Amino acid sequence: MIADAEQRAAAIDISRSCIVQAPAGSGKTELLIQRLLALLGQVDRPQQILAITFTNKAAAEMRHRLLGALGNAAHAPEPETAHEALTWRLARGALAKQGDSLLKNPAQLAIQTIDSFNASLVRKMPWMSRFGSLPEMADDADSLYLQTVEKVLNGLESGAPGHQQLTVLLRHLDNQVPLVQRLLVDLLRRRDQWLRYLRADAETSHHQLQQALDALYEQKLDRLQRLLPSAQKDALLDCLRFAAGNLPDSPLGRFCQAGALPGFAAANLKEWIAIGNFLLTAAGELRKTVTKNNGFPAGKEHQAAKERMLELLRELSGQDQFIRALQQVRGLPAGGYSVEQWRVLEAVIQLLPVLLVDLWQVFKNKGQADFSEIALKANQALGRADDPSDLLLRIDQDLQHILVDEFQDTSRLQYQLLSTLTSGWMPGDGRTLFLVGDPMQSIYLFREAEVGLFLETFKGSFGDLMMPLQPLRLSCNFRSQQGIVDWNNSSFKAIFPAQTEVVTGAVPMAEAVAVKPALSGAAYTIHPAVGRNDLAEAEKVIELIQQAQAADPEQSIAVLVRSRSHLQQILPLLRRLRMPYQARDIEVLGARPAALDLVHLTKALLHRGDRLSWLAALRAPWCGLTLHDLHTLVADSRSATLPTLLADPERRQRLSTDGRARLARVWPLLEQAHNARGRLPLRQLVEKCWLGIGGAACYDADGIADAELVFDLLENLDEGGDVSDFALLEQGLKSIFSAPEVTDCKLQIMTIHKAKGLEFDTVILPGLGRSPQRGSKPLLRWLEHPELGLLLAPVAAYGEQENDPLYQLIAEFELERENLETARLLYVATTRAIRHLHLLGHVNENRSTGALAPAKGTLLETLWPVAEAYFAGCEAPPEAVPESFLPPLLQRLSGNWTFPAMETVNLALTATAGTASEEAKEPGDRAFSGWESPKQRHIGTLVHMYLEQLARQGRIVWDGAEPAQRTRQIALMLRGLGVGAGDLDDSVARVCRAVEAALESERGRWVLASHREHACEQPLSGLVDGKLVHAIIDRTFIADGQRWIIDYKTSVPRTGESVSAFVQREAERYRAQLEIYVKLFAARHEQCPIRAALFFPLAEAWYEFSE
Amino acid sequence: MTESYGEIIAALADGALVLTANKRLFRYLRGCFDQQMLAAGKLVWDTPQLSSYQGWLLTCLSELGESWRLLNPQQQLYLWEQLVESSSRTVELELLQVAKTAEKALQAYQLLNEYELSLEGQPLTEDQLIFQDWCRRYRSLAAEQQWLDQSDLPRLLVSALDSGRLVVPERILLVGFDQLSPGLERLQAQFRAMGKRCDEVSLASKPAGSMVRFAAKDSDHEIESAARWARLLLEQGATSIGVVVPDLSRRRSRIERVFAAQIDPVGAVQLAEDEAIFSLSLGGPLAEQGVIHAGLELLSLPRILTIQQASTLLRSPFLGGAHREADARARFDLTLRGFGQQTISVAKMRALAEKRPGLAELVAILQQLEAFGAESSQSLPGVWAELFAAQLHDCGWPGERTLSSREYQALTSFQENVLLMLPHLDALHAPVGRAQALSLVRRLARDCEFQVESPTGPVQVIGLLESTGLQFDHLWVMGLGETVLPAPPQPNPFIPYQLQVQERMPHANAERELAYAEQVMARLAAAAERVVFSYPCSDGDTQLRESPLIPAAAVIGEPELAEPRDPVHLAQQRKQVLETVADQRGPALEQHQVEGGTGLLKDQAHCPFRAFVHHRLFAQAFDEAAAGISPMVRGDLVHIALERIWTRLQDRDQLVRLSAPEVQTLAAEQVAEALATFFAQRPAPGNTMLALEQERVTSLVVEWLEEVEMKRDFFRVVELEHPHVEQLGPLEISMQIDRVDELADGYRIVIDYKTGSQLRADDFVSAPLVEPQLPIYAVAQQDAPADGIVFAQVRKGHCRLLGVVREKGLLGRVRELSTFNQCEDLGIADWNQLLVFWQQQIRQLATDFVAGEAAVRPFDPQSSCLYCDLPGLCRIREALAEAGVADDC
Ligand code: SF4
Repeated sequence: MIADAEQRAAAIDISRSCIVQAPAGSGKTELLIQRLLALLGQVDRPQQILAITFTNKAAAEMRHRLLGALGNAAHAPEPETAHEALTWRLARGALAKQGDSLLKNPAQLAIQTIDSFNASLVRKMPWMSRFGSLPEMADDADSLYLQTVEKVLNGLESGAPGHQQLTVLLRHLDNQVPLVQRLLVDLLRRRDQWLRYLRADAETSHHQLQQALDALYEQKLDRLQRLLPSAQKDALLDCLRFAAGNLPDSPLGRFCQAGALPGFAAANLKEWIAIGNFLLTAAGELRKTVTKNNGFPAGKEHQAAKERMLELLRELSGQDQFIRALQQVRGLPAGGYSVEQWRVLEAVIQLLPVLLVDLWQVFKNKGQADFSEIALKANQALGRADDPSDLLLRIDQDLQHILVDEFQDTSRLQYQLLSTLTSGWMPGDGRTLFLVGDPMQSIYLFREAEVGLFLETFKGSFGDLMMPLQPLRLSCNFRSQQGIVDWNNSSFKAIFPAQTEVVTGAVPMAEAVAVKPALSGAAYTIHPAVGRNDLAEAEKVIELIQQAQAADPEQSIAVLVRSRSHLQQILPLLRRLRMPYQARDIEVLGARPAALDLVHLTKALLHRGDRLSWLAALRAPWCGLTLHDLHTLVADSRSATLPTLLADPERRQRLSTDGRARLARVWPLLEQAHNARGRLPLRQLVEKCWLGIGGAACYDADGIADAELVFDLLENLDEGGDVSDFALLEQGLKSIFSAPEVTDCKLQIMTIHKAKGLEFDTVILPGLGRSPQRGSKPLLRWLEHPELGLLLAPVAAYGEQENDPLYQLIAEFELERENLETARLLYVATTRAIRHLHLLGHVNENRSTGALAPAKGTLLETLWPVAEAYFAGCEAPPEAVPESFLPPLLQRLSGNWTFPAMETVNLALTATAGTASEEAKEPGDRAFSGWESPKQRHIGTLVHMYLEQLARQGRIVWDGAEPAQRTRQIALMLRGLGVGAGDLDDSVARVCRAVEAALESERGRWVLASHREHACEQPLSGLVDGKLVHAIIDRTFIADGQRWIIDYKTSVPRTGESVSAFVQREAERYRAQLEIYVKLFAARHEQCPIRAALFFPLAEAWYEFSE
Repeated sequence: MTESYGEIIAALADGALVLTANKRLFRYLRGCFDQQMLAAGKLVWDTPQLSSYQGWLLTCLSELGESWRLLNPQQQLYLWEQLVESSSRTVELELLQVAKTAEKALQAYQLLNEYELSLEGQPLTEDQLIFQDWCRRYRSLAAEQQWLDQSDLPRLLVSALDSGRLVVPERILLVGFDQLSPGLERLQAQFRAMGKRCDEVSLASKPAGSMVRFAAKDSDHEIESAARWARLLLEQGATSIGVVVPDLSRRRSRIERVFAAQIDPVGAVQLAEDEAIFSLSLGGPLAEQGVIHAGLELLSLPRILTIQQASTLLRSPFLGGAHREADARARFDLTLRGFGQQTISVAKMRALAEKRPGLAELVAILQQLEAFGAESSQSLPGVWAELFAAQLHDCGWPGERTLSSREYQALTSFQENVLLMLPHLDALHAPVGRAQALSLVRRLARDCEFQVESPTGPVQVIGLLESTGLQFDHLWVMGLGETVLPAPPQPNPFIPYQLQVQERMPHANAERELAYAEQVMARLAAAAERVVFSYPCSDGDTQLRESPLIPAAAVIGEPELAEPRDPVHLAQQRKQVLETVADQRGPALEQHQVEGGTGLLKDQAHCPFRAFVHHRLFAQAFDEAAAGISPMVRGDLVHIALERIWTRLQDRDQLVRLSAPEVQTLAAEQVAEALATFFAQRPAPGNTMLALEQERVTSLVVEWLEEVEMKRDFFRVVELEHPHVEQLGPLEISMQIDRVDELADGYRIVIDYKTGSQLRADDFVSAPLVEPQLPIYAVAQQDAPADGIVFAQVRKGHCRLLGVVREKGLLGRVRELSTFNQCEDLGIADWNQLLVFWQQQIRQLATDFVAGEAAVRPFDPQSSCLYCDLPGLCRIREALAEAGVADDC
């Protein structure tokens, strides 16, 4: 029986809702699967269950495991171990209830991310959601925000809505448009937070914000009140009164007559600030002594008072918490928002609606939207508990159970959605909510994850309607050996805060019980270093890997880092030592030569004036011109374009022999490709060129994989064979990760974030002493406080030295939350290890004191309470002599490289059958033959139709209708064929003229008359001159013992052309076509002689082909 | 060929009517029939009555003389869009995707129509209520205009058959339908009622003899395997190979490319497309064809272009003069970028182009562009089509190159399917404006599938739907992931869900999808003698599962594949260890007078390679445009303003005599003048922006004067923006110094204004000398060397002087030489030695430059490379990684 068996049993009790804290290694996924299976054994249809995962990958994995379990239950015998057997039995139950449709149609299982669930909602409400249809998800939502902001900024000159506010912001930020852009983009990125609080009406918002601020002050003061040692209250008051008497004009002056200490309402803040200044030094420490500046003048007569004060200070000196609280209160901006600050905030608040309107327009133009928009609209369209939409009602009918994984990383918006979804649930109606996660592993603050929501819910109720949930906590760790579990238990007890705090997201340690016994040897090792030396650390990492591999070649090893840049030394070393590794999403393409070369090549091919790219393309390994040769090519002309210079054979002749040979191989292809731009899709253009010049021979397999990614990028950016903005290429280089080919590799390298949910036998954590990369200072800070609402503060005006106190206050709040998360990140990292854990980091030595301390904000700082002991006695190594720098060498294919021979399969191609008339294109047909010819064609179509009907059914077809009626009919038909409104009358007239001319002329009547074996539009197939032909023959019959084949033509002579010349010209054009007809008939063993002719009803002409 | 095929062909020869599920099957059967005739030795025969079902509906309609009533799909969509749009305009927030909504709504309408259902009396959601409204409006419009929808045809034909206006042969065969639509069912009933024989012919004969289930690593691997499988079969002489891809539209381009690379590697590297002999002709949107895209872009250019739009225009090969003026246009592009502005108006661009030689044709085009949109009236779409064609023509579109056959076909298709489609819309709506007409053109071009005509080979790649009824010798069905077959249901949101389920409408629910998928799978399993079913096991790091419907009889394994023959693979086999050359020096400089000023030596000090590329090869990255006013321009404005002010004031005394308001006025006036002169030469930002900038520069200048200059001891400005030519070692350089001050006791201070933040006084005392400009000047006059050199940092909130001076206190808090720790290492003890040091450093830099020294050797990889534009060319990253130097840039 394991330690937490009871909790586990409760977690799969499907009659109850619960929230489960499942620490690292506690077998959370298995538990989820079991609960899902249990539910499937009970519900009528699988669709009644909704399981929400954090990522698509997790959804796929859960689906995979679930179906695996079902498969086992269907085909395998009951397993031995207890928990596997439980799963098996539950799966049996699920199959029994659902039948095999579950196995055959797994698409029924609603296991998805919250985003895709939102998308499914939107899909059901095209009109209500205002999307119309689910838009494409923007890969790069920031670029859409930027476009929106640019749009708004364009209004600056035209006086569009928002221009005044923009002016305010520009003034505040030194008229630096990029800063304003950044501010507003940030605003849009997190607009869901804003929209929860701010109304377009600035007055109300101001009021709300001020209230939130006051509430915050009161919280701080409240805390101060609680911490103020009551024993010293009187003494404090006495001292204050004394000092106030000596400093009547200072802020202390008001205490002169005070009968009591001030109260703790927001209104008393100023007084407490004064008290703070009275007790604390500028640096925030308790005063050790006082002078006349503090209200205690020198002199015997004041000695007693001074003594009293010093006594007070001594008494207070142990009260660290009080002092810190006082210090915090002293830092509060008493005046609230300053005029300037408020002006800026007001501008921002008023700009928000303008931005939203334009954002919607941008979405509209792109047919894209971001995830927030989908979530916002889905939320909106669902309605609220008290005003549910049709859809919510329908979903409410369907949905019986909801499971949410990784609940600790839920954002407020997502929480809101879940709350709405469950708003119709009644106690005892059999519906359940199952929330699972681990607040100790909440590491997605930057994605608005709110661990506080987990903490709050864990108190036992969920949502607006306070649905009761049973809190459960797992404690068994099935992953790590005892040594690691023990170390984590003791370490994080010291590192994590002792108390839960919802606001900051403080999570105390929940200890684990190891299921796996301890292994021999050290479970964890801390490798201390003094002074940063990345290379030495990297070498140490390599050594550890090698040792681990030597000890057990089969084990999995992971190197986990906080930030990718911490790998900058390790990866090259691994490569140099040819140690295979798998590193997903670690190196960007911009660091990879193959990718850089290709981007240069692309730019060169697209822009003849991009000299730098041309030079790079000529120096890249496939060509490898020397500086001498490049100089010879270009140095005498600053402004000529490279293609022009290269095209000059004389100039090429001036190069070195080797250079000439290289150019002779490469230049013709570059030239061809440059000239072909726009003709091929961009990717093809570049890829073909690159292959042709030997690009694929210049790199190893990783380089080829990089190139492939660049080609994919080109495909994405392709706009008619070009790229709309070269900066997009650079952006791609910075944001796309190199993805080298790997075959199942035991050594993995990744960020800690990526490693969440994974486990490895040996885990190595380098760079613990390195500081994280700090982003630039936000231009607007805000904090969504669960109790107070929204707090926000803009950055001080550009160029002001001081930080704004309000801004600072929020920054401190954020910092606290971040620090707490840093500790959780460390927990995630160390709990990945199954067998062994290595921690590497450096501290800095204080030059003067010699004290060792890790840098601020580092993981090592977090670990310091535990790690400090290991650094004792460590010494800084002697100043390392930097390896001498060797300039990079020019690398290139050898001069005699040639492309390998290639072999194309012999293909038997079958031409499609022809249609006889397609040969008859007018010579010199240009793409735009003008508007006459389509009109002509439509007229022809109608004339053909009438002639066919006339031949079949006689004159009644035409004469039967009233002329006006007929004209209308023809107009309608022409319009249906696509004759534009402007051409209609003329076209109708021409149709009428043609038909009437045919009916009036002798020839026409003869053609249309009923003859022997006559037919209209006769379809005939056959083989003519070895070619398969499908023909349709306008008119054929036997008259006077001859087989006539007649084709109608509605063309007319060109202006000035004589009828005979016209007829001659047309005859030439259609001769081949008619010949085919003749041959077809001949092949039918026609008895009579065959005659072929063209009939021109409009031109009133006739042409008969001679034999 | 199976028996059922024989039956069909015999029936056709007998004069039966054969209707197929799709066009592809029609073409396939016609081919079979033709082959049969030829095999029978015939040279000519009556074309059989064989048609796709859709095609037959149209033929019948035309026989009835009512073709004109039928709205084509574009017209339908356009009509529905207008319905949707008119509702959308009445609500608070417009719909995001009108076109797609219209599509869905039209689909729902057609479904209901085909199923002969009505929404009356159904419980409807709000979405469905608004749809019902659209339907009502559509019906009344259609009735008034006698319009028909595709879904009306079956009913129309039933009545025409009934009344005898339409005749059909005695026997009718329906071929290849996975399922008969309700309309077709109705027709079948009518045929039968008329005493005809109308049967469905099932093509599925028996399951394939050999079936393989292949688990590919991922989608790429799957495609490559299929291509190599096809290659092997082709090498063995197979003549009928099918590849069925459920999500073809998404994977189309990749499949096309990979198949071509494996089967026709020679063609895969050929740039002239006409030389490739293998092609799958899978097609793509017409709007993406280069020539069409260029035309559409051209028509939509606004009056104010982004610099990228301007650049795209200048390098487009599809314009008049694109070849003849290529070089001039490329250079013009660089000039425009040089302004550092993000936008430029067409008018300004034309004005600039007019002043440059060799751009006559461009000027003409720009004039055309200026006129676009001037015709801002409303016209019918057909009229717009003519106008657009004329405007394109006037811009010289589609360019000077002779058209390739693909381009020719694209243009033809553009004319036929896009421009000529516009008049069709004339009847549907009131006149529209240019923007709307253009968006119509774009939409039509996007919706138009463009396929290059090419001979069909033995390999066919097709989607799931088109595959019905086809038979192959070898078949590969790929992409059979778990959620592909059966797919998740996708009920139409405009029709009540229950109704869809009840009527078993397509995609209504999971059951319906499963039934469909099972049928499709059975058909595919019987579509060839040998079938491979494959699926990808992973997508990125996500694991995928196979479709549960892959026939159980398919054995797990890998089909036989050809060796990889694609060019990349072959080239990799020919990969060599690259030869390495220590290429660190270019030719020596012959002409010792150079342009580039002191920046040249600065580059040389930071990195010889950079100096060589910038100043010997004259290459650098494009200037980057910044939003608003670029930092460079902002700096220039401050320079000019301060120059103007000191021209007037001349010394400190004159400055301090001014009252605060006078300083303000002086600054305001001079800044205004500075802006005016500066922007006379180049495109100016808008007036509001200009006013804000003027305000900013003024306050900055005032801050500078008050915070720094006024607080200084006496000085006199003795030189302002004074141009010099200096002989530096072997090099002659022209340069200009911002300002030289003379202090009370005759000391001379050289000053350079800087508006940036990255300034270090230490750079004046370093080897190599990375800030050579001021030192050059300091030592220029041998008899009267300077006594201090300083940067004047003119930056809001950070105004100060920093640099190095001879003695303590010479210039406020500017550091004196002795405070520089590095002096000891450099062996500099006093000011004179510093001057000598500078001289040596400068001479050394000049000598190196002249010698062509060009090693990639950055002074400090952190700072030197941070803002350098050449890291792609110099390969510094690789070198740094090897040497273990930290590199965070
Ligand atoms: S990036 Fe660095 S090494 Fe390369 S050229 Fe520029 S300064 Fe030199």
